Amino acid sequence: MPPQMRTEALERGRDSTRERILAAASQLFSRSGYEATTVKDIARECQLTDPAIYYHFGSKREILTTLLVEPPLKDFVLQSHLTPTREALVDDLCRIFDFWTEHAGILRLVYRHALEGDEDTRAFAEQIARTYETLIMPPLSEIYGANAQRIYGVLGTLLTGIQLDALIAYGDRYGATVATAEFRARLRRLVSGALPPSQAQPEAV
Amino acid sequence: MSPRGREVVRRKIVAAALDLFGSEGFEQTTVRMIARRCGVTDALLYYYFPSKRHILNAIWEIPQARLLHAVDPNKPLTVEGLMALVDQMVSGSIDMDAILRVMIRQALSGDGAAVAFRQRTMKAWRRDVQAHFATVLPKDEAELNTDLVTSIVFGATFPAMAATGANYPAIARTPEFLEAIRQLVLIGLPFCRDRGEP
Repeated sequence: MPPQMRTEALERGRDSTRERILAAASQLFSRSGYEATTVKDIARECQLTDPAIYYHFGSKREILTTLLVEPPLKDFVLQSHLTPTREALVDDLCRIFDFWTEHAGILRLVYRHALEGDEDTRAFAEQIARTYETLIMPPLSEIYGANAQRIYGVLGTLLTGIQLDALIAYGDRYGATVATAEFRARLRRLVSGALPPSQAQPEAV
Repeated sequence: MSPRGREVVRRKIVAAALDLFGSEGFEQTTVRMIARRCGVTDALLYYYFPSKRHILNAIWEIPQARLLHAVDPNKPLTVEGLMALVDQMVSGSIDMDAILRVMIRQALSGDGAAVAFRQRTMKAWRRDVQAHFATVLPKDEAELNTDLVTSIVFGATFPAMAATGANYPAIARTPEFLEAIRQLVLIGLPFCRDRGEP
């Protein structure tokens, strides 16, 4: 094999081992919690030796912080940025909820460790909260003016409640369940119900 | 020991375990820690509970107070009445603080018994709240407002529990905390907006 291809193959191999370790760790951290999980447990789960783990990650903590990487929420293009209507906002909020379905593993980790007071987790959750605010406040301000901040508070609280409720109720079936038409309809009703009529529109009867 | 005496010891063990499971986590808590916390020997503890898991299961059996008594379920619900229900849900979360903590951690870890416990409790709360809304709203609106208020209260109390840890009861009893949650409900529920709030 030419030297160039050998290096690339090696790199791919390294990358896939890293992925295996991260996947195993994510599972175990969610199931047993960060503190209770040892590097040995992670090694056993992905059939590697302890030294093999340490080759890729300096410590257990480093594995956690690697997992807590913010998914590309910042890159989300919101419809309501272009057309700031209440309807577009409802659509966007439902899409953002969907977006998290793919990253349910991270969600579970964050909620799980939030109760344990883990600092890295808390910092990560705050980072995500700031991203949300950046995304949603502009259209919200367009639509609701001075009331935008208070309504944002309601939305954030509501979506946290719905998400955590679903994570608890559905467990591993979270992804499959929130993708169903039934759940999506419920989510839409809730988000729409929580948003007052926009300033521009007459009060609903 | 009398049956009454045995019941007292049993409750002491469950209370100690509840506290430790909530603060240290189920995995990290040992039988020895529980025994030491309530001043009994390991052997005596095993007499009452064959394993740590058995104590956890006993926690899910603890009967939970029902919600209804804050507001007369036969009278039409008012915004004021809803606020009383919200207050009661929040104080419920304070009373159940220890159990909730264990339950959420366990449920997120995939513990089926914890999930089942929570579903039972939530179902009972939702039924009670919906019955109140049904005194003035058609079924699907009653359901929507119920879903909204329970989601908002849960979404507000959980981060507070996470942020304040053992201080949660003290923080949650403050008027500011309660008022903040009431405001969210006043803004976020069609029921309230339709009655001219906030």
